[in-house]
Amino acid sequence: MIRKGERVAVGVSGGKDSLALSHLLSKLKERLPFTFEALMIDEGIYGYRDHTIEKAVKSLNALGISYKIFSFQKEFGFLLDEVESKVSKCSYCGVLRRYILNKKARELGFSKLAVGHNLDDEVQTILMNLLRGDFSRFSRTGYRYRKVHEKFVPRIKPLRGIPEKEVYLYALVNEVDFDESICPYATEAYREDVRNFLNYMESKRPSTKYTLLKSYDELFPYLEALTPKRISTCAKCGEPSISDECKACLMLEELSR
Amino acid sequence: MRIKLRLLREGALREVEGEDISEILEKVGFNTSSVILRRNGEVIIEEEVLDGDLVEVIPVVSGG
Repeated sequence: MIRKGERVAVGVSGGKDSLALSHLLSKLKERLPFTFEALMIDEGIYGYRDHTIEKAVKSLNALGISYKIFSFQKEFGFLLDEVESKVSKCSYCGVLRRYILNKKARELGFSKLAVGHNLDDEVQTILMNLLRGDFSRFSRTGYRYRKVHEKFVPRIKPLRGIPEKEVYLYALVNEVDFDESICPYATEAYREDVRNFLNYMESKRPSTKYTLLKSYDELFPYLEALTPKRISTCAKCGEPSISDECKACLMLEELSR
Repeated sequence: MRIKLRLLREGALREVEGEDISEILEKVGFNTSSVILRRNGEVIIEEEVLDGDLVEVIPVVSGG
Protein backbone atom coordinates (compact mmCIF):
# COMPACT_ATOMS: atom_id res chain seq x y z
CA MET A 1 0.00 0.00 0.00
CA ILE A 2 2.84 2.37 0.93
CA ARG A 3 6.21 1.95 -0.75
CA LYS A 4 9.64 2.56 0.72
CA GLY A 5 10.47 6.26 0.84
CA GLU A 6 7.03 7.32 -0.30
CA ARG A 7 5.47 10.66 0.74
CA VAL A 8 1.87 10.18 1.80
CA ALA A 9 -0.81 12.83 2.36
CA VAL A 10 -3.56 12.00 4.84
CA GLY A 11 -6.97 13.62 4.53
CA VAL A 12 -7.90 14.66 8.07
CA SER A 13 -11.30 15.88 9.23
CA GLY A 14 -10.87 15.77 12.99
CA GLY A 15 -13.19 12.78 13.41
CA LYS A 16 -12.17 9.41 14.85
CA ASP A 17 -11.33 7.70 11.54
CA SER A 18 -8.86 10.20 10.16
CA LEU A 19 -7.22 10.82 13.54
CA ALA A 20 -6.98 7.09 14.34
CA LEU A 21 -5.38 6.67 10.90
CA SER A 22 -2.93 9.50 11.62
CA HIS A 23 -2.04 7.87 14.93
CA LEU A 24 -1.59 4.48 13.27
CA LEU A 25 0.63 5.93 10.53
CA SER A 26 2.76 7.81 13.06
CA LYS A 27 3.38 4.48 14.85
CA LEU A 28 4.12 2.71 11.54
CA LYS A 29 6.53 5.45 10.56
CA GLU A 30 8.73 4.54 13.52
CA ARG A 31 9.41 1.20 11.83
CA LEU A 32 8.97 1.84 8.12
CA PRO A 33 10.74 4.33 5.84
CA PHE A 34 8.02 6.70 4.63
CA THR A 35 6.81 10.18 5.50
CA PHE A 36 3.36 11.67 5.77
CA GLU A 37 1.59 14.93 6.41
CA ALA A 38 -2.05 15.78 7.15
CA LEU A 39 -4.18 17.83 4.76
CA MET A 40 -7.34 19.45 6.07
CA ILE A 41 -10.14 21.19 4.24
CA ASP A 42 -12.13 24.03 5.77
CA GLU A 43 -15.37 24.09 3.77
CA GLY A 44 -16.75 27.02 5.75
CA ILE A 45 -19.33 25.38 8.02
CA TYR A 46 -19.71 27.71 10.97
CA GLY A 47 -20.01 26.06 14.36
CA TYR A 48 -18.83 22.71 13.02
CA ARG A 49 -15.70 22.69 10.91
CA ASP A 50 -14.03 25.39 13.02
CA HIS A 51 -14.38 23.08 16.05
CA THR A 52 -13.30 19.87 14.26
CA ILE A 53 -10.21 21.62 12.83
CA GLU A 54 -9.32 22.96 16.25
CA LYS A 55 -9.55 19.42 17.67
CA ALA A 56 -7.57 17.97 14.78
CA VAL A 57 -4.79 20.56 15.13
CA LYS A 58 -4.48 19.74 18.84
CA SER A 59 -4.30 15.99 18.20
CA LEU A 60 -1.88 16.30 15.28
CA ASN A 61 0.40 18.58 17.33
CA ALA A 62 0.35 16.03 20.16
CA LEU A 63 1.40 13.34 17.68
CA GLY A 64 4.05 15.56 16.09
CA ILE A 65 2.37 15.38 12.68
CA SER A 66 2.67 18.42 10.42
CA TYR A 67 -0.41 19.63 8.56
CA LYS A 68 -1.76 22.09 6.05
CA ILE A 69 -5.24 23.60 5.94
CA PHE A 70 -6.94 24.63 2.69
CA SER A 71 -10.24 26.45 2.55
CA PHE A 72 -13.14 26.77 0.11
CA GLN A 73 -12.93 30.50 0.81
CA LYS A 74 -9.37 30.77 -0.43
CA GLU A 75 -9.62 28.22 -3.27
CA PHE A 76 -13.10 29.08 -4.59
CA GLY A 77 -14.02 32.39 -2.92
CA PHE A 78 -17.03 31.21 -0.91
CA LEU A 79 -18.03 29.32 2.23
CA LEU A 80 -20.21 26.21 2.07
CA ASP A 81 -22.58 28.05 4.42
CA GLU A 82 -23.17 30.61 1.64
CA VAL A 83 -24.07 28.05 -1.04
CA GLU A 84 -27.70 28.34 -2.10
CA SER A 85 -28.85 25.31 -4.01
CA LYS A 86 -31.81 23.05 -4.58
CA VAL A 87 -29.75 19.90 -4.10
CA SER A 88 -28.01 18.93 -0.86
CA LYS A 89 -24.86 20.84 0.07
CA CYS A 90 -23.22 17.44 0.61
CA SER A 91 -22.90 16.85 -3.14
CA TYR A 92 -20.97 20.11 -3.60
CA CYS A 93 -18.93 19.53 -0.50
CA GLY A 94 -17.88 15.99 -1.51
CA VAL A 95 -16.84 16.89 -5.06
CA LEU A 96 -15.05 20.15 -4.15
CA ARG A 97 -13.27 18.65 -1.14
CA ARG A 98 -11.93 15.72 -3.19
CA TYR A 99 -10.91 18.19 -5.91
CA ILE A 100 -8.78 20.27 -3.50
CA LEU A 101 -7.33 17.20 -1.78
CA ASN A 102 -6.16 15.65 -5.05
CA LYS A 103 -4.82 18.94 -6.44
CA LYS A 104 -2.95 19.95 -3.28
CA ALA A 105 -1.60 16.46 -2.62
CA ARG A 106 -0.15 16.45 -6.14
CA GLU A 107 1.21 20.01 -6.02
CA LEU A 108 2.90 19.26 -2.70
CA GLY A 109 4.59 16.21 -4.21
CA PHE A 110 2.71 13.43 -2.40
CA SER A 111 2.42 10.15 -4.28
CA LYS A 112 -0.53 8.70 -2.31
CA LEU A 113 -3.54 10.14 -0.55
CA ALA A 114 -4.63 8.15 2.50
CA VAL A 115 -8.25 8.43 3.63
CA GLY A 116 -9.89 7.11 6.79
CA HIS A 117 -12.74 5.03 5.33
CA ASN A 118 -13.49 2.07 7.56
CA LEU A 119 -15.17 -1.29 6.86
CA ASP A 120 -18.63 0.10 7.62
CA ASP A 121 -18.15 3.06 5.22
CA GLU A 122 -16.96 0.74 2.47
CA VAL A 123 -19.73 -1.87 2.68
CA GLN A 124 -22.37 0.85 3.01
CA THR A 125 -21.07 2.49 -0.17
CA ILE A 126 -20.88 -0.83 -2.03
CA LEU A 127 -24.43 -1.79 -1.11
CA MET A 128 -25.84 1.70 -1.75
CA ASN A 129 -24.37 1.81 -5.25
CA LEU A 130 -25.57 -1.71 -5.98
CA LEU A 131 -29.10 -0.94 -4.76
CA ARG A 132 -29.15 2.28 -6.79
CA GLY A 133 -27.88 0.52 -9.89
CA ASP A 134 -24.99 2.97 -10.15
CA PHE A 135 -22.47 0.77 -11.94
CA SER A 136 -19.94 3.52 -12.48
CA ARG A 137 -19.66 4.29 -8.77
CA PHE A 138 -20.08 0.61 -7.85
CA SER A 139 -16.90 -0.17 -9.75
CA ARG A 140 -14.88 2.46 -7.84
CA THR A 141 -14.87 1.22 -4.23
CA GLY A 142 -11.95 -1.16 -4.64
CA TYR A 143 -8.84 -1.88 -2.62
CA ARG A 144 -6.64 -0.09 -5.14
CA TYR A 145 -6.80 2.93 -7.40
CA ARG A 146 -5.09 2.92 -10.76
CA LYS A 147 -3.23 6.02 -11.84
CA VAL A 148 -5.82 6.85 -14.47
CA HIS A 149 -4.35 10.30 -15.11
CA GLU A 150 -0.90 11.79 -14.52
CA LYS A 151 -2.49 14.39 -12.25
CA PHE A 152 -4.44 11.86 -10.22
CA VAL A 153 -3.00 10.96 -6.81
CA PRO A 154 -4.04 7.36 -6.07
CA ARG A 155 -5.95 6.96 -2.84
CA ILE A 156 -5.26 4.35 -0.21
CA LYS A 157 -7.66 3.23 2.49
CA PRO A 158 -5.66 1.53 5.25
CA LEU A 159 -8.71 1.15 7.56
CA ARG A 160 -10.89 -0.37 4.87
CA GLY A 161 -11.05 -3.77 6.59
CA ILE A 162 -11.50 -2.45 10.13
CA PRO A 163 -15.04 -2.15 11.56
CA GLU A 164 -16.08 1.33 12.67
CA LYS A 165 -16.48 0.07 16.22
CA GLU A 166 -12.86 -1.10 16.31
CA VAL A 167 -11.57 2.19 14.88
CA TYR A 168 -13.44 3.99 17.66
CA LEU A 169 -11.95 1.60 20.22
CA TYR A 170 -8.45 2.13 18.80
CA ALA A 171 -8.87 5.90 19.20
CA LEU A 172 -10.26 5.49 22.71
CA VAL A 173 -7.56 3.09 23.90
CA ASN A 174 -4.77 5.25 22.43
CA GLU A 175 -6.29 8.42 23.88
CA VAL A 176 -6.65 10.07 20.51
CA ASP A 177 -8.71 13.21 21.08
CA PHE A 178 -11.23 13.43 18.25
CA ASP A 179 -14.36 15.41 17.50
CA GLU A 180 -17.74 13.71 17.67
CA SER A 181 -19.99 16.47 16.47
CA ILE A 182 -22.29 15.92 13.52
CA CYS A 183 -22.19 18.10 10.42
CA PRO A 184 -25.29 20.36 10.39
CA TYR A 185 -25.80 19.58 6.70
CA ALA A 186 -25.57 15.77 7.03
CA THR A 187 -28.60 14.43 5.20
CA GLU A 188 -27.60 10.92 4.34
CA ALA A 189 -30.98 9.25 4.79
CA TYR A 190 -30.17 6.48 2.29
CA ARG A 191 -26.84 5.66 3.96
CA GLU A 192 -28.58 5.64 7.33
CA ASP A 193 -31.05 2.97 6.11
CA VAL A 194 -28.24 0.86 4.65
CA ARG A 195 -26.15 1.30 7.81
CA ASN A 196 -29.06 0.13 9.99
CA PHE A 197 -29.67 -2.86 7.74
CA LEU A 198 -26.00 -3.91 7.77
CA ASN A 199 -25.72 -3.46 11.53
CA TYR A 200 -28.88 -5.52 12.01
CA MET A 201 -27.47 -8.29 9.75
CA GLU A 202 -24.12 -8.14 11.52
CA SER A 203 -25.75 -8.57 14.94
CA LYS A 204 -27.79 -11.54 13.66
CA ARG A 205 -25.08 -12.99 11.40
CA PRO A 206 -21.65 -11.93 12.62
CA SER A 207 -19.07 -11.32 9.85
CA THR A 208 -21.70 -10.15 7.35
CA LYS A 209 -19.71 -6.95 6.67
CA TYR A 210 -16.40 -8.77 6.13
CA THR A 211 -18.08 -11.27 3.82
CA LEU A 212 -19.66 -8.50 1.77
CA LEU A 213 -16.31 -6.71 1.40
CA LYS A 214 -14.57 -9.96 0.50
CA SER A 215 -17.19 -10.76 -2.14
CA TYR A 216 -16.78 -7.28 -3.59
CA ASP A 217 -12.99 -7.59 -3.62
CA GLU A 218 -13.21 -10.87 -5.52
CA LEU A 219 -15.45 -9.19 -8.04
CA PHE A 220 -13.31 -6.04 -8.21
CA PRO A 221 -10.73 -7.13 -10.86
CA TYR A 222 -13.62 -7.86 -13.25
CA LEU A 223 -15.22 -4.49 -12.52
CA GLU A 224 -11.88 -2.73 -12.89
CA ALA A 225 -11.37 -4.34 -16.32
CA LEU A 226 -14.58 -2.68 -17.51
CA THR A 227 -13.63 0.82 -16.35
CA PRO A 228 -11.48 3.19 -18.45
CA LYS A 229 -7.71 2.86 -18.00
CA ARG A 230 -7.25 6.53 -18.78
CA ILE A 231 -9.52 9.46 -18.08
CA SER A 232 -9.48 12.83 -19.80
CA THR A 233 -8.40 16.29 -18.73
CA CYS A 234 -10.81 19.07 -17.82
CA ALA A 235 -10.66 21.69 -20.62
CA LYS A 236 -11.18 24.43 -18.06
CA CYS A 237 -8.89 23.68 -15.13
CA GLY A 238 -6.60 20.94 -16.44
CA GLU A 239 -7.45 18.54 -13.61
CA PRO A 240 -8.39 14.89 -14.23
CA SER A 241 -11.96 14.43 -15.43
CA ILE A 242 -14.26 11.72 -16.76
CA SER A 243 -15.81 14.14 -19.27
CA ASP A 244 -14.59 17.25 -21.12
CA GLU A 245 -15.25 19.45 -18.13
CA CYS A 246 -14.81 18.23 -14.56
CA LYS A 247 -17.57 18.06 -12.01
CA ALA A 248 -15.90 20.70 -9.80
CA CYS A 249 -15.79 23.27 -12.66
CA LEU A 250 -19.40 22.51 -13.61
CA MET A 251 -20.47 23.04 -10.00
CA LEU A 252 -18.45 26.24 -9.64
CA GLU A 253 -20.05 27.62 -12.84
CA GLU A 254 -23.51 26.73 -11.59
CA LEU A 255 -22.83 28.43 -8.26
CA SER A 256 -21.54 31.61 -9.86
CA ARG A 257 -24.77 32.06 -11.84
CA MET B 1 -32.03 -9.01 32.63
CA ARG B 2 -32.57 -5.42 33.67
CA ILE B 3 -29.86 -2.80 33.35
CA LYS B 4 -29.47 0.95 33.50
CA LEU B 5 -28.19 2.58 30.35
CA ARG B 6 -26.56 5.97 30.20
CA LEU B 7 -27.03 7.10 26.61
CA LEU B 8 -24.08 9.43 26.06
CA ARG B 9 -25.21 11.24 22.93
CA GLU B 10 -28.70 11.94 24.29
CA GLY B 11 -27.41 12.52 27.82
CA ALA B 12 -30.26 10.31 29.11
CA LEU B 13 -30.44 7.59 31.76
CA ARG B 14 -32.84 4.73 31.00
CA GLU B 15 -33.65 1.52 32.81
CA VAL B 16 -34.35 -1.20 30.26
CA GLU B 17 -35.30 -4.86 30.52
CA GLY B 18 -34.70 -7.59 27.95
CA GLU B 19 -33.64 -11.19 27.30
CA ASP B 20 -30.04 -10.16 26.70
CA ILE B 21 -27.90 -7.10 25.92
CA SER B 22 -28.69 -7.29 22.17
CA GLU B 23 -32.40 -7.03 22.85
CA ILE B 24 -31.87 -4.25 25.40
CA LEU B 25 -29.78 -2.23 22.91
CA GLU B 26 -32.39 -2.74 20.19
CA LYS B 27 -35.02 -1.30 22.52
CA VAL B 28 -33.10 1.99 22.63
CA GLY B 29 -32.42 2.05 18.90
CA PHE B 30 -28.90 0.56 18.83
CA ASN B 31 -27.27 -2.80 18.29
CA THR B 32 -23.98 -4.43 19.18
CA SER B 33 -22.29 -3.13 15.99
CA SER B 34 -23.16 0.50 16.53
CA VAL B 35 -22.04 1.12 20.11
CA ILE B 36 -19.25 0.64 22.62
CA LEU B 37 -20.19 -0.22 26.21
CA ARG B 38 -18.43 1.13 29.26
CA ARG B 39 -18.86 0.21 32.94
CA ASN B 40 -17.15 2.21 35.68
CA GLY B 41 -15.10 3.96 33.01
CA GLU B 42 -13.83 0.71 31.51
CA VAL B 43 -14.71 -0.59 28.05
CA ILE B 44 -16.45 -3.98 28.25
CA ILE B 45 -17.71 -6.48 25.70
CA GLU B 46 -21.40 -7.30 25.44
CA GLU B 47 -21.02 -10.68 27.18
CA GLU B 48 -19.62 -8.97 30.29
CA VAL B 49 -22.80 -7.03 31.03
CA LEU B 50 -24.45 -8.27 34.25
CA ASP B 51 -27.97 -7.95 35.56
CA GLY B 52 -28.35 -4.68 37.44
CA ASP B 53 -25.33 -3.00 35.81
CA LEU B 54 -25.11 0.69 35.00
CA VAL B 55 -23.66 0.77 31.48
CA GLU B 56 -22.60 3.76 29.36
CA VAL B 57 -23.62 3.46 25.71
CA ILE B 58 -21.29 5.25 23.28
CA PRO B 59 -22.46 5.42 19.64
CA VAL B 60 -19.55 4.87 17.24
CA VAL B 61 -21.07 6.40 14.11
CA SER B 62 -19.18 9.46 12.95
CA GLY B 63 -20.74 12.75 12.05
CA GLY B 64 -19.89 13.21 8.37
